[in-house]
Amino acid sequence: MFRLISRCSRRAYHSTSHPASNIIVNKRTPQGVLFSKALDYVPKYGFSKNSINAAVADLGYSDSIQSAVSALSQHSPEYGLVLFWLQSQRQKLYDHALNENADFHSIGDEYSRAAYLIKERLGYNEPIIDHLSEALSRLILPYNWQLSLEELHNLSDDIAFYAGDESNDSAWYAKRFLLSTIYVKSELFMLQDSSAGFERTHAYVDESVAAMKSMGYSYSSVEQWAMFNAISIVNLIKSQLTRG
Amino acid sequence: MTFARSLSTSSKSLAKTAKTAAKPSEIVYGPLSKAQKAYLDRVIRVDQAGELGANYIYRGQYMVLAAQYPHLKPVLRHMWDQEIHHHNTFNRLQTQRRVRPSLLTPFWKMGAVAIGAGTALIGKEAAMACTVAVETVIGGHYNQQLRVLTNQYGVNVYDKETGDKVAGEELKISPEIQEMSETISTFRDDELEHLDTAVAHDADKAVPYMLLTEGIKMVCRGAIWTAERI
Repeated sequence: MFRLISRCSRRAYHSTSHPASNIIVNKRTPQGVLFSKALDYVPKYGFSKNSINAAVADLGYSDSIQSAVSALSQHSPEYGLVLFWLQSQRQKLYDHALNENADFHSIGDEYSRAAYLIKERLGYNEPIIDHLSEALSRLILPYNWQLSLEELHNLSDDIAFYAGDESNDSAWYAKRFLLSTIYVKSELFMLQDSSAGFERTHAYVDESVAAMKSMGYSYSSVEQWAMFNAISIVNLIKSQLTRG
Repeated sequence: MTFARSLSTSSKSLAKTAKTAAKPSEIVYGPLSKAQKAYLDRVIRVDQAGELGANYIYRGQYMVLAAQYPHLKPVLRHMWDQEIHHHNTFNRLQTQRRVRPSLLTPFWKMGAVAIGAGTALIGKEAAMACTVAVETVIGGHYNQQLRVLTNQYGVNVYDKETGDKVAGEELKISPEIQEMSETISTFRDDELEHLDTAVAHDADKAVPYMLLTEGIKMVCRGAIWTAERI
């Protein structure tokens, strides 16, 4: 259980003085160079060996680079490419959140910010939407799902952090879990969505985030009510005792 | 011989500071290692849980003792306010540094109120003995963290423009880590002040003193071990 928890929070500590500690994906490693090139071919060939082959040919590398890259991980190169794609989209979202001119910074409410970020992230799927179901089917394979889930939680943690989450207790876990579920179901909704500019997906995200907000509100209201009643009961007993 | 060596190292470090030409704005600190990040992650999580515990222990004590002993009220209030400040500081660090809070937070809250109110119900001396036990463990724990933060957190420094390693400035501690060390050492001093206050208020007159303090110390150590991990 310890390992599972620590695996889920691999990139947890966010440094302020050591900028290089916060890099999500390093595009200068051999794998990074190859996969970033391969991503250019994904809209055409999908998350397949063909994209990687095309990238190798494009960069003028020898074919042996493929075995060097696949030796680094236990997973298939195709899965590596999917994961690399997810990480680089997360990096893109980070850069977007840092961009001072983005509309994002004029939104005040934490939940609206989270909804904005989810929609922004879903927007990054558009160029490869035809190959998205293929990517998802790779993510949920039994020997991949643990790493995929970790990546999903990293995404929801990023979204919660950029949205300005300041919870210090179980709410921290609840928010991230709910954001993960909202993201996954919105992505599945997006696969079926044929409306122009994915308007219905956007409406769906807004609706889900609003439901999450009202859930949080009702939980804290019940908590407040219970606390008030607990204190009242103690005081009532005290007053009855002093009367004798 | 040790004298000569310490003199030579001190003169070397003097020369080093004289040579330092790079201003803080022109340098960039190298990345933290995985182990360094993991330790900081633990430090913030356990300290947040610890200060939460302290906050709620004083809340429990205050609930029981404030009405019975008016002369203790300002003393307890002062200590409680300091703990609230500590707790808020670590809450802020936890959200800013993106550290996961302890999964057992609701349990820590209940346990801390129970310890605070429970010892206060035994008597004001027992409550003070509880403070002695808790603050002793926390003081030692903070000292341990400070030792690691000062000894293990040097990183290489790079020039911002060229990206080259700045010579003569190996293993420098970044302002981020320095700030954290300062926070922890201030809090440690506050905690030890509480320890003195508790001793001055007859903590040692609590009846099963050894049993109380050693028992609570054991509970605290167990809680620290758990909060670091879960």
